[in-house]
Amino acid sequence: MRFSTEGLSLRYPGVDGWALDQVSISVPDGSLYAVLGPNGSGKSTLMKTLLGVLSPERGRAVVDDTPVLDWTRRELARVVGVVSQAETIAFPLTVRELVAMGRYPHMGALRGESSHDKGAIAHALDQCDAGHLTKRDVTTLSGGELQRVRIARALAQEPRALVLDEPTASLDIRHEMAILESLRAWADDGMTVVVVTHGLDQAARFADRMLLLSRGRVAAEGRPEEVLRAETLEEVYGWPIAVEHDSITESMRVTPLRSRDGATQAPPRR
Amino acid sequence: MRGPVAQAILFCSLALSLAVCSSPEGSGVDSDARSAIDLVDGTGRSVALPGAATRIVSLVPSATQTLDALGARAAVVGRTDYDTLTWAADLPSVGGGIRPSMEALISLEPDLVVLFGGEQDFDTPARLDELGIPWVGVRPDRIDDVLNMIRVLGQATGQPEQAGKLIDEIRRGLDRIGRDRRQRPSPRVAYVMGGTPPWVAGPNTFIDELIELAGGTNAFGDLDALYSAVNPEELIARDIDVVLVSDRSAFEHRFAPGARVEMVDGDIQLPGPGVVRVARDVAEAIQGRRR
Amino acid sequence: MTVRAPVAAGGLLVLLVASVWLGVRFGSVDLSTAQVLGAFVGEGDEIPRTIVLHFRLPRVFLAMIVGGGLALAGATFQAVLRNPLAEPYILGISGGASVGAVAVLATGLAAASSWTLPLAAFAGALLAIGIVFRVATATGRAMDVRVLLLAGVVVGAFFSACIAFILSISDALVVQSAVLWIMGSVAVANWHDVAIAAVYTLPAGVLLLTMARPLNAMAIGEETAQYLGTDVERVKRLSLGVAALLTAAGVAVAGVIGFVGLVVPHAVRLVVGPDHRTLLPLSFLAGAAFLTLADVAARMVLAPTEVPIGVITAFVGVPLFLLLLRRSLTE
Repeated sequence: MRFSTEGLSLRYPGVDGWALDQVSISVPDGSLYAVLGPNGSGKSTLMKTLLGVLSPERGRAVVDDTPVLDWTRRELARVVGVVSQAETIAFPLTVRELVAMGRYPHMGALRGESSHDKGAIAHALDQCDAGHLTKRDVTTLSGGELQRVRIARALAQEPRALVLDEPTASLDIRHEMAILESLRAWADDGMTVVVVTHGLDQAARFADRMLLLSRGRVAAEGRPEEVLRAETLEEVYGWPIAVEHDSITESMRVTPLRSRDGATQAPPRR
Repeated sequence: MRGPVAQAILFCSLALSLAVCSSPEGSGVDSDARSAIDLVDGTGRSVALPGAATRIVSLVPSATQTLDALGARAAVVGRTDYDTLTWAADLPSVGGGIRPSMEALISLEPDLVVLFGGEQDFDTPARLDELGIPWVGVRPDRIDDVLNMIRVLGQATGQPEQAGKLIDEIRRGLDRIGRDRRQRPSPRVAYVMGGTPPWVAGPNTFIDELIELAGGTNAFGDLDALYSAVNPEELIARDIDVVLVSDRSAFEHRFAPGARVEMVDGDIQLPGPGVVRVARDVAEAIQGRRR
Repeated sequence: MTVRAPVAAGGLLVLLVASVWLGVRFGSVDLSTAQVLGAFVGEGDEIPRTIVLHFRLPRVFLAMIVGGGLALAGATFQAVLRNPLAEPYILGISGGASVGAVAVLATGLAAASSWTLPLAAFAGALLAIGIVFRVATATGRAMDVRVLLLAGVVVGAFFSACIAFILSISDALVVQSAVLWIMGSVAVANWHDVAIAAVYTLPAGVLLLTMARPLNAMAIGEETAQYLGTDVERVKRLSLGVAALLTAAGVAVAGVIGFVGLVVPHAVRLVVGPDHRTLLPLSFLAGAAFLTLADVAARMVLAPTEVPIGVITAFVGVPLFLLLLRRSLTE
């Protein structure tokens, strides 16, 4: 699956300035694509516009050569699985029930689960190491368990692309790494994975390409070593930052400096 | 806005008091009734009046009718919104009969207030007591209550003989209706007031009395309440001969397909001095002597 | 204490059949079992037959349809508004319907024909729905359920004031009729009412059932529901619209029967879980059985006097629900 945007611009009513300003990106098929940027830089807005939940004022988002707003929600949900930042579950559901919702875009209104549906649900639960949780009430799960269950629901859609908004926020090292490794493995199998994250180091290790957003604009896009440059990051984050090659991970390592270290002067804030 | 209204009320009351004063012998108000009057009102309470009342505010429509029937129309200076008599329409109103406007009431400077002696309003009598305005309570629920109300109002206006004559007249009228009733088996009668489920009149009501007087049997004479919403299947099961209504739409004929449905005057729910007329109407309806 | 859906459905069907039997068997008039059974095969006296076939049976059917419809509407409102306190009257529908009914009672227009009151109540309910939906969609393309809830409460309060005003200038009999109407009754049901109630309730029920999965998705959030393939705007408008009309029509024929639409979906959810594919049909069955039994009580406790059915639904339903709630919490 390919995602791209052309000159995407969007304002929120009652808010000054552009939430997205002339954003043009392209996510190649089968890649792991990381969306980075400071708080409020427009990462989640870009994700929602890319998925057709928000309509841009100018420009357009395109999914596989078709403008996203021309897809029906059902058709899009058959090929794109999404894990949003958070959801509040109003009624007590079991894990099995929540993951089974991933099959909704494939099911008729009144039909029950086919054997294929059941297989997809079981497979998705296994892939996320959540098979043992099926009977649990989702409101009793830990943060790590709930996140795995929500990813399993997206996988149960049998999508060709996954879009995740900060999937590893507030998770411990083991859960974070397990999820990132899974994402990498799925991308290697040909799935397109778009992940919004604050973790620059992890993005550098796992992503094929990345986008750095700053105040709704594209600050940099490309391979990790092209995007993760000290000058660019200092400018975007407004903080002294050092970038070096990490010989253990064989990828870029981003280190925020103490402001008094004096390695670099904190750049003037705009 | 308030100024002109208040002035108008003041003017009206002045004009009325002048009219009353300038015709001392007018409309049967006894001129020598200056002596104090002791009476027991419709609720059993003793009342002492300094003299015959000449400025009466009536909060009970059937009491207004009774005062008229006693020839004391000129002594009435205020009425409620529910008085429908044509002559009373020109009088200033004090609002509803329960919790009337005290301001309007006081501005009429009454020397007697007639109010409904029920449990609905403890406020008004208390306020009147504070203000030192005499009042009598009447409670015209049944025929005897109506006759008692006539007695009370006759005494209060200083014309007990007039009241006695009216009471006798009503008794004779009712006796005549009672004698006229046919001797064959008494028809089963229900009075349906309307509503869903349908409301019917039970025992110990004015309507119950009128049905019995006319030779009928109240089909709902065994209810626990005066009025009650009943299961419609009772209407069919109680084998009713005549259904009385004051409102055609109050009753669905399928509830009692075998019954004769007769319209009666809406005053059947408002016991007053017109009781003989209403009773005759009910009797003719029950005995099928109309048309 | 989650029970498997087929077991719960079986139990509810048995309960419903039992309540229908009680509904035709018992009334203020004492009939024998033979008389009641005879009525169905066309035997026995005219009067028992009429009582069973034309009085008891229509009111049983009306109670089932209205009770089922209210429970269905309540379950739908709770899902779409994502609020377990939501109930069929939350959008000011009862207030609108009551204003319509009280207005025609007070002006005497209700006496013109037996259709005037239900029509006025229905029109009042539609007015309330129209205002509330209009306000909720005024801000943009999307319908904001929080605005919808607020508008519903405010419009309801306004209609309450209208009712208080009309009643304050009406005489006692009107007040009495209005209060009784507001408390609800199926006592004077006839086959016409039943036919009308069925004609809107059954299609509405099927339509809501086809939206069971989207409603499940909506219950975990509108954004997530979109990612799971739900056309959220369409589902919101359609399901709320259908549930509101269902409520309006129920109120028009049977008055404002409280409590069924709030508590029956809750109780059913406690027993079978929150999947709307089982929750919706079982709520219908449970609401139907509950209101039928409540109606039996309404006619029996003070027979031959009728007690407003809304009084029974609250008196019986509240303790029942609290018991269920406690059991589910202690487990």
